Amino acid sequence: MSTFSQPSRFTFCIRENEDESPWGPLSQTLGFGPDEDVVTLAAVENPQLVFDDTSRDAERYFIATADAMAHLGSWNNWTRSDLIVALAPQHAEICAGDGLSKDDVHARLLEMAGRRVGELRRGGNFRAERMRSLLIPVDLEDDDFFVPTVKDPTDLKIIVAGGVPGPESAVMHGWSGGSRSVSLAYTP
Amino acid sequence: MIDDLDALEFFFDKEWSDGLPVVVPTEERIGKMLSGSSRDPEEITGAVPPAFGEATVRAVAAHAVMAGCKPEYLPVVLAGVEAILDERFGLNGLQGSMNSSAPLLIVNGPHAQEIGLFGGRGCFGPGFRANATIGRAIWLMLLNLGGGIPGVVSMSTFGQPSKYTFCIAENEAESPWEPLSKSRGFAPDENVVTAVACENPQLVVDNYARDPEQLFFSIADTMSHLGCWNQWVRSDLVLALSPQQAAICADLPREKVCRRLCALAGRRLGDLKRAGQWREEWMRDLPFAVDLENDDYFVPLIKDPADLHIVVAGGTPGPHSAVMHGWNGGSRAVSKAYAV
Repeated sequence: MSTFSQPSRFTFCIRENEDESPWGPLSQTLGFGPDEDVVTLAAVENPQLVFDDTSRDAERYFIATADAMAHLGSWNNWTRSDLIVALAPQHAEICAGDGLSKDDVHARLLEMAGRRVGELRRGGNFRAERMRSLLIPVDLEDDDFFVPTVKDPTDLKIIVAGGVPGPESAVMHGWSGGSRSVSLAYTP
Repeated sequence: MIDDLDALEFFFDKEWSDGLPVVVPTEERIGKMLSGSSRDPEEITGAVPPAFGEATVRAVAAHAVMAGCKPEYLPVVLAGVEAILDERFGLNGLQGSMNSSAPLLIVNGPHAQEIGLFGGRGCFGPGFRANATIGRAIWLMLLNLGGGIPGVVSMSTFGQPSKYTFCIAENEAESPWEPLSKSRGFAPDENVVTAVACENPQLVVDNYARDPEQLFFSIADTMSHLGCWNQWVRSDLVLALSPQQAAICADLPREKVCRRLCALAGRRLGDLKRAGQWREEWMRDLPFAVDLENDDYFVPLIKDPADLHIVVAGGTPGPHSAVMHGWNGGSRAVSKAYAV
């Protein structure tokens, strides 16, 4: 009953750009060995671009990416759901150049992406009961209370993809909370 | 059959494919495809940049075969080619861009309905031959006639799934408003293709709003994220409202919905300065004055109301809208009427 469906339902499959990543692969972050062949699946929306060739430091780069993660149209604001951020090698280098590990990038985006209760109340898929059932406590009486977009740190996956040059990241929001990403090792 | 499979591999080897198998365009198949149009097969509709391969009616038909079109789809493919080759569309820049935007075709008129071009439930995804193959034919021509091969001509950092195919009909039957084509000056019974260079659909899920102002809040917010090009330059933006969301606004004329979203979508100058693709000189180049000394100054996302294209699409029920941000300002939406 998908209202619109989306073009990425035709095909949606990439390899991580491990060669141009300053960090270890996603599979290793998820606990697999560096030599293992691993497929990770996540039920997500089309890539949404974050174009930024102005930022020269990670902290400035994070602002637009966190902002795109946190828009009020996505399901991630309302329920626990996966979210993938693909950094092009150029954006990953900005972060690595500032001495940040992938875990640091992950932690900072978790911290920055989110909205105040007052904003959540005004639009989108707001339900007080949804806020109450989150893994994190939310003070519904305080309109300035900050609600993170990603409800559980394990739901945010950071990968490196795309070509050089390219001052871009791609944000892929998750589905309604009824799915968790799955990774499987396989033998060729 | 074996010959056909070998030929198919030949198309992969020559990089005459989008990565998916193509239908081999034999003379016989091209001949059948040409029966879908009364136009002279040698007529040149234009040349596809930057390689400037000539898009003769025959070459367009060959790509329609490769994409899997039926002959009756050919008039739409031809009109789509003419729209993207219009100078205003800026295809040359789009082909080489680091951005990911792709030509979205929105089709209005009775012909779309006759050939099964779909604007209802699931129209942006797989399952509808006309949508899937017409959009694919356009992209195959950008590759094969235009030379827009990734990493060779196309410097798109990520590409995007909608480059495979990006073609819908407007859901005129469930729209409370006149068709997009009529609002762009065409007669109601004309067959019209509108091409817009834009990003993938970005969903706005909202089953909470019961009045337009509530609904506009989350839509305007999604339109205004700091990663998109619309913040910085004049650029198109397509907003597809599902029939359910359009019904919430049905008491307003579409022009008023457009004006209200133009007023609500945007960011404070201070937000723009501290993030994303900020350039002071771009703010000076906008078609309206921006007070660069005032960080609270509100900079509208849509720089010219003519750039916001509101259509009705998708199925009922469905509390969704889809925002499709524009490319970097080097393109303008183009509409072409076509004869069947």
